[in-house]
Amino acid sequence: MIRASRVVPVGLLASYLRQMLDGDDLLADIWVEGEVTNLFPARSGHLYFTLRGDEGQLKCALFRPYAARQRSLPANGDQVAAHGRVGFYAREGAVQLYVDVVEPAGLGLAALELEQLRQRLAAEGLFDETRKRPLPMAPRVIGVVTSPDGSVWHDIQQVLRRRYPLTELILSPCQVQGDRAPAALVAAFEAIRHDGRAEVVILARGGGAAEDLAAFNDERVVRAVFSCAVPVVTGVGHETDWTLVDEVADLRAPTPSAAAELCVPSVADLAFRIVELRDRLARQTHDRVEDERLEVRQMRRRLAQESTGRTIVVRQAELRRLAGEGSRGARRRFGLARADLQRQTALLRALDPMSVLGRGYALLIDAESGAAGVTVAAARPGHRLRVEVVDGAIMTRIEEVVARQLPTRSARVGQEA
Amino acid sequence: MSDGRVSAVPLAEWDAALNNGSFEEVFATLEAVVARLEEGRLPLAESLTCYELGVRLATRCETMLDEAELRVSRLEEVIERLIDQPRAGEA
Repeated sequence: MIRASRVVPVGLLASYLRQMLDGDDLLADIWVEGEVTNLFPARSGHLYFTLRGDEGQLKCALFRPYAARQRSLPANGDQVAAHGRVGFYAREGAVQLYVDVVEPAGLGLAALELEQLRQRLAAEGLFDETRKRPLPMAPRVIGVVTSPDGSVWHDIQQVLRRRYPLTELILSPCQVQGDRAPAALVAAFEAIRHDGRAEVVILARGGGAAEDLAAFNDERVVRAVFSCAVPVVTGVGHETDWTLVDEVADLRAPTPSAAAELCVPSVADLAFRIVELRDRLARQTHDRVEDERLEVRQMRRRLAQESTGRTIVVRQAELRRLAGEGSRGARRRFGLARADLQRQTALLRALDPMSVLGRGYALLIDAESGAAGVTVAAARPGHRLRVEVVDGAIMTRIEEVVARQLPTRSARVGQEA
Repeated sequence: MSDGRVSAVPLAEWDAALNNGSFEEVFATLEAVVARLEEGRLPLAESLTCYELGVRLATRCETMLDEAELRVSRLEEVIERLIDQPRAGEA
């Protein structure tokens, strides 16, 4: 704390001064008018200058973010009104104005009022980005609020005739300048609302002196734009002019003609898109038909595979292959066939019943009928049999027939039950 | 469709747009037809119907662009009436 008759470090005094200045409501929000001198644009983008009056001067700092927002930057010798807060810059021991808005002098009071109105409306949410509405892609009806005289209305018609003649324009004529302009503009918006056909509204005015645009900073007009039921595009003045209706509008165009352009697609673009759609249509249909054709082809192939057609084709191929082989190949094949034949003969020989007799078996033949395979059922005592053995045949007679005792069907069933 | 099946595409609706639609409607319908074709899975016959309809929509769009003439009107009378008859409660 700083007390009387006590030596304090300069840093402490500096921070005391800063607190004093920061705590002052008047100094926190003030407009100062004077001539710009010692202008120094720093490489950082900040702008430093001194405001000089008849009896004093004040250092000013316009920091980069604020500098970027100014409609025009001050130059040495300019009479300006600067808005900001007064603070103490301890490092240089200087009181200075931290500027956020700088306007040509004379506009000072109007600028102050405008800034206050802007802040009030902003606080109310009129300028919120979140309430900006998208424009219709291709509006059928466009409302135009502007003066029926002069080039603006003519230019807008020209642009739309060239760019998108499919639309309908409804002019809501009004005065755009002078004391009666705000009320006229509000009535024009009311007429648009009453008519109810417009899908988007262009609010336009040609370029002029800053004071000529006053109606577009009028609170009534700003509110009329805000409450318009359809999106509003502004094209007011020149590119460098910026009014409150530009802030409240759904979209701000730099000029009236640009506003008209922004409202509609161009027929050239549309024609191009139609051609593109035609192409896609044709390509798609062509592909579709080709797909079907391919499918039919595949079906046909599968059909051929399932039928004898395929067998014939395969056989034919085999035949061709065989025919194509040379005589050596054919001979080799013949040799293989012969070896195979020998193997088959050996196999047949092994199966010869006579070879079984060599292993001690005998073959019975009914001498009466000559049939092999004598059975009990056919055998009768006294019948002659011929017994073939390995080294000849023995003639014999049946002494007795003994049937093998087979279990009867009923007995088997009985056992299982 | 003539065979009485329920169509997989809103042909009647598209046809109505072609015959009575504004440019925006015809154009949007053309976009819808192309999108439906590109989506695939339509029976061949319906694909071809869509194609024909699409071509007619595209032609209609182009004709509309060629023939379009900017229409202009003014609301002076409306404004006068508004001035003559202020809204209730304001008079």
